Amino acid sequence: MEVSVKDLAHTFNHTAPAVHVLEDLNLCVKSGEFVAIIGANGCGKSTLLRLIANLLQPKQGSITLDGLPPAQMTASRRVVWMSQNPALLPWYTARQNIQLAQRFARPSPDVQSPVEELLHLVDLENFADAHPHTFSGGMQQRLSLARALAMDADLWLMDEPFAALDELTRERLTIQLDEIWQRRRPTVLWVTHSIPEAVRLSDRVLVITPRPGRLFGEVAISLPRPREDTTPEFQMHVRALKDMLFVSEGLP
Amino acid sequence: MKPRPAYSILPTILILVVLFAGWEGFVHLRAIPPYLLPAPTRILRTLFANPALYGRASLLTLGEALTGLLLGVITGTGAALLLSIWPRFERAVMTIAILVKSTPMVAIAPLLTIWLGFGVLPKIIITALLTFFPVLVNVISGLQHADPALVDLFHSWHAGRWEIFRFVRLPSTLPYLFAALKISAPLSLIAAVVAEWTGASGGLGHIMWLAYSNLNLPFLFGSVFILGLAGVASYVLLTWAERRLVFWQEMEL
Repeated sequence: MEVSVKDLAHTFNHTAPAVHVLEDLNLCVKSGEFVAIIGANGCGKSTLLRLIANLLQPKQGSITLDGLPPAQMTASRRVVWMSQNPALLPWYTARQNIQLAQRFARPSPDVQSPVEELLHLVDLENFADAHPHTFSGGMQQRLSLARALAMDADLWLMDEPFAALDELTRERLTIQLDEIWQRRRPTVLWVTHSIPEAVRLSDRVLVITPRPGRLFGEVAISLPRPREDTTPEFQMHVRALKDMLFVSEGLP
Repeated sequence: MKPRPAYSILPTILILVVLFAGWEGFVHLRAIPPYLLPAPTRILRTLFANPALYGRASLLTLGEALTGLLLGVITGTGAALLLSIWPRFERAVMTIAILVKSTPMVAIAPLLTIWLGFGVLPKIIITALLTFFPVLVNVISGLQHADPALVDLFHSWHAGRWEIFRFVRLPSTLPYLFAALKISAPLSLIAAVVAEWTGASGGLGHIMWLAYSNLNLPFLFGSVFILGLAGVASYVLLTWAERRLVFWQEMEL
């Protein structure tokens, strides 16, 4: 699904003084492209995803998904949005949480991935009948990820989905996600604070300036997949992005 | 959640034993006459000497309290749900509810007895009126305080109002409903007894009224003991049910 953002500006008016979160933001994501977004805290990355997910309405500018307004695309359940908050239903088990998502998913139940398979992807197959309040933060986030995968959407809006994971789990899930993406080829907008994760997964990394967020620059990553973080090319990209992030934040 | 070890109720028992032993000792040492303050053992003897009398009265009063409580919970929850569908009526309904709540029960109870007689109906109505308000306020609060992250999630799924209500808002009210029940259950006992004081043909409040007229304090205290026990039992029962039904929230007794 093609994502096109034109002259986007967004302001939060309910605070005094009003906060200009995004300004003059332009970006275009091709169908099937994996785009990572990095930037300082509070630069409006989450707001950008919320705007695309139709959870917020832009104050200025426009967003189109395959040429249509986001409301139309979310209505046909072709967009999935995953927030930083795992947002699990505490009164439901892991299995029930995923089944609930599948109720709302676009594919008909007979072509949906079995719950067990989705839980296995995130190493939670032994916790299918446990409730989320017994889970660690990382497990909750993994369940939330499995639920997002269950939606089987064309556009994935992912807001730091790996933030609460430990290093090893993050590593393993990154590899798994890379495989899943190559198989299904959805369009992905991936907000992260981890430059190596961005280089590992994405075709392109966008750097957003501190508030009000604008597009500062971008780096195309054309390394073959799966990518090894030890190669000099990989390290070169990481360093280039680190430098760009520093400059974008106005740091020496 | 860890099961509470059995010995954790030991301090409670200890305090009760000390309290009652002190009461008993005080009455005997100072030779207080029973028409002023009967000793706990004397009260218990009165209780056990009249099992049929107290049994019938307890059934009647607890029945009134429970029926009134159920009525209050059903109407309170129902009103809260209706208000969540038609929020424009919230101010009007809340004004009436606060009006009813702030009118003293002792003013309404005699009126209802005059209008509806000495039967159980005025007791049930008084109890329902008193328990309605905490339930209404808490369930409204629960419906409004559903986790915004969950509401956002459902919006991102393009879920409808009814689906958000059914899957998010309604289960979110459960902890609030239990908080209301813990206030309302003891309140329902008080309401039933006070209503009986204004005129009744039976019940624990009726026994208290008769015993008070004759200065038969052991009899009066018998009713008080049963009511205290029922209050504690309702609280323990509710806490037990809450742990099982609202298992996702850590809570303490």
